[in-house]
Amino acid sequence: MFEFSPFLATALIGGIGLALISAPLGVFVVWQRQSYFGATLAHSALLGVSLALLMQTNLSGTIIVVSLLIAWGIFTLNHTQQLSSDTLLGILAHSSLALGLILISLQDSVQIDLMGYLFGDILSLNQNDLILIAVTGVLIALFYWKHWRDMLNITLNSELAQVEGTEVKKVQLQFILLLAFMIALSMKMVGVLLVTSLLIIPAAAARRLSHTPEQMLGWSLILGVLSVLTGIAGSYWYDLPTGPAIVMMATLIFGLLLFKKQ
Amino acid sequence: MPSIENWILDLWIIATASLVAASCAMVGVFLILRRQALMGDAISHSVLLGIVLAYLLAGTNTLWVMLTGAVIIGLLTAWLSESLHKLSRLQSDASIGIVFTLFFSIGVILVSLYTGHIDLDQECVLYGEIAFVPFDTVIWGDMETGTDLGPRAFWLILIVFTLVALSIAIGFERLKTVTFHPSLAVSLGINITFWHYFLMTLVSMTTVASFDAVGAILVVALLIIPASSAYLLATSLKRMLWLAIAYSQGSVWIGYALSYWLDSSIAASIAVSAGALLALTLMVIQIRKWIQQQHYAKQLQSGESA
Repeated sequence: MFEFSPFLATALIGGIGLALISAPLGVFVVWQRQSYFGATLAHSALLGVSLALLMQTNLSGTIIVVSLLIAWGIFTLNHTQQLSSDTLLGILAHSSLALGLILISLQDSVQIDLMGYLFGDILSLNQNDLILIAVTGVLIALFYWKHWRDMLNITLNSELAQVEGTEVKKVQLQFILLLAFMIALSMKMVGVLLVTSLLIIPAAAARRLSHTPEQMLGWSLILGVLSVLTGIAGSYWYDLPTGPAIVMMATLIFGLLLFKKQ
Repeated sequence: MPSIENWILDLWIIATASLVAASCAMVGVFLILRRQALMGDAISHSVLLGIVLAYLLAGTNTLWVMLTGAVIIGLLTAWLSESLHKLSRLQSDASIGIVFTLFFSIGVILVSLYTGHIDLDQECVLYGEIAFVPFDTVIWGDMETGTDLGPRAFWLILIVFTLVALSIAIGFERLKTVTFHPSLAVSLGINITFWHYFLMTLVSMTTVASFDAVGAILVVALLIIPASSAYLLATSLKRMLWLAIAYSQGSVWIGYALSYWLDSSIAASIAVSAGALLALTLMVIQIRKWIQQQHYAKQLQSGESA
């Protein structure tokens, strides 16, 4: 039976909010080939979880701080060219994940539901998270309102954008920090391992329906919300882990759209 | 009191871990050189689905069933992401991302649905528990009278290690050409597609064999990190392979000591020490560069004054 509890209300509002903040970022993640970057940030978010437990600090806050630091670290390391960027991302993702797991295993006294963080638990969202999601949403809206054109130019040709007077580095850094924010918030719902799919799949599906970048943004918002809602419903009724259920629904939508002729 | 049995247990754990690390390092070298770190990541995640499906369909967890399931799903991941990339003109990294998260999700859902029936628990699958490796042994002959041949995971990784080492040794020249000069390889009539999928097969086999020991997630750390440390130092493919193996063995030993000292997860400690070794290597290289610069600057100055 469908019981409308405050928990579920928080979960639904949070889910829709996360879909709304991840879709616009996802569009550029797909265009700029940054899927692996998203995955890396998500993996290192687990380091945030274990640090928060170790130092008894606020969970969401610590995750956000750690994600921002890692994002900034990747951004600067990317400009020193010792290793190719995908190698660098792989290294950072997995060594920080391993460090996170060690820190967790050191704390015998704490019983935590690691699976919740790896695969998401929609019921773990609380009021504070909703506020943070709203704040991030406003930040993203502001960023796009100011820099939408700049981001498009950078995606098409970053050298040209630089020449035309766009502050490429600054805009990119802002985008990446927003991405870190979004990932830190959404890992509670879909889990560390599946955050990437929340970013890419709606955007990839939206590509099939749109002719302009603005249309793609619109469709990815709609499809993102749709997959989160159906995923939560599936997870609620069939008792499936929330993150994987959302990914399955999103991929289903993507798969159906693949049949559409372009 | 440390007894002789404890020593044997430790020995099995270390032997398994070194073989896992060495196989991963060898395969990882090619992944790094071909810039396919993401592909390695993807395959190691989706192999979970292969193992679960093979287990559910065949009802056993014998070595060959697991290997076949994993290889099929691994190749499917590689093939699907490539076709998605070509068919829908979606960026290649995004298509890899879609395919492997889907497979991984299905795998996780299956594990959570059947977790009562199968002896696969979520945490074990994810980051393995190498400390339990010695207790799951292969017994030759009767359950009671047969001889104990040692841990199952050890035999599995030994087989895979041999396969990987042999195929790299035999196909060395071909692999080298395909890796460094893909277009030359095409003009020489080497089938690039074949070698690509061959490499993906090796990745899937290594991943599944490492599963018991380090799990689906940390195996990527072992695939990528020692190979990239080697990449920083090596001057030839052969040197890089040897260096990668050396780094991987170093991480196993340091990691094992670390986990003993901190009483933490062995697999995670190995991954962290691999990362630490890489960081150390990077630091040494930077310092050497800096010293060299100082040296040249001094030479330049003395040259001017003379």
